[in-house]
Amino acid sequence: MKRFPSIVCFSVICSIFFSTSALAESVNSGVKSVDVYNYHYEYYSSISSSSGTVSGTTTAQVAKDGVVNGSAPAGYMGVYPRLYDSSGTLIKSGSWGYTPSTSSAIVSTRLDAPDRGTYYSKGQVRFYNGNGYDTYTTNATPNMQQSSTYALATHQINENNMTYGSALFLDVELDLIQAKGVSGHLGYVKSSDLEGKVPTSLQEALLLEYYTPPFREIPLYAEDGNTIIDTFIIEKTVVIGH
Amino acid sequence: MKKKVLLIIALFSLVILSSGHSISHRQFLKIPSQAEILTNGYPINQYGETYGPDVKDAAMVPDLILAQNEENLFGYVKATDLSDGVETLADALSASHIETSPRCIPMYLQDGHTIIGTYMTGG
Repeated sequence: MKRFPSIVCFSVICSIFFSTSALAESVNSGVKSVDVYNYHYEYYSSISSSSGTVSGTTTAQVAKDGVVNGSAPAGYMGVYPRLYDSSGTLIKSGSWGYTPSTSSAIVSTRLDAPDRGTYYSKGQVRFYNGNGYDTYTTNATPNMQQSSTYALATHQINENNMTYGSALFLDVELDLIQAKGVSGHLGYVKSSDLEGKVPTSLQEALLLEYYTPPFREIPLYAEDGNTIIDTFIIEKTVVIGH
Repeated sequence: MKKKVLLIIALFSLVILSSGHSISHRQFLKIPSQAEILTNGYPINQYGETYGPDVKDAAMVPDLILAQNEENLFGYVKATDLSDGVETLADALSASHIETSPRCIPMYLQDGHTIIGTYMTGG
């Protein structure tokens, strides 16, 4: 079932491409507001998905109840976006940006999620208080999922009718997955080699976990899937934290 | 004489045990769970700094924030390292403080001292 006829692949790619490009959605966090140095500010973070890429921004504005109602002098507002994955791990950190001139709002640069996963955005804002700055953290946005489409172009079929490319490629399991060997060669590993033994029961899973060596070696192939060019090491998964 | 030998053995094993203990503490990244943080607050390291994932709905941000860099390595970044150091209106408006390219900051273990990698911020 792993070898997809190219026509099926093509239609899968088309349907996913068209469905994701049609779905551009954006969600804001809850809005917070604060009075600083005679200005009433509102601030929030946003997360959006466009053509399959999830990205986050942070916004500050002179506003009341969601309506912009004035402006503040240059440098009065600063924004700094941060993108987290659903475990609360900081994945992308932007930089502070300040209003370069009198402005009613400032939106941070966009932080794009690097890989497939579930993300939320939660940034910081800063307002001038007459003597320095007060810094606040926005509410977090809801989570948004990314199933990456970056690697669409890298998925190809070799002369042995095997699909090969980067594993970023959607949810289609490739026969040959792009990997880097121990000697630094870039090549491909067979997904069948990667899998190893699949446990059939909970007891077997626990036994496998206990008896699995710390690492296992599999061959790294050239794109033909036959010529061995290096070795790839599979490390045993070690759970960190609690 | 026997007592002396016993004492020496006891002391020696104590040294081995304690060094083993500190090594195990030094080498592993500790990540408190979100549930733990929401119940007990952020854990505090030996230097008085809080650490952990920046829990979505927690009111406080830890001093050491759990981050993952482009090589998928986990570690803690200092909230102060993420900051741009702007304090005055003049700072904010001066071109010298506008970050146009990414900046490398260290990633630490939970002690906030042992560097284990680098994290790119800004840009």
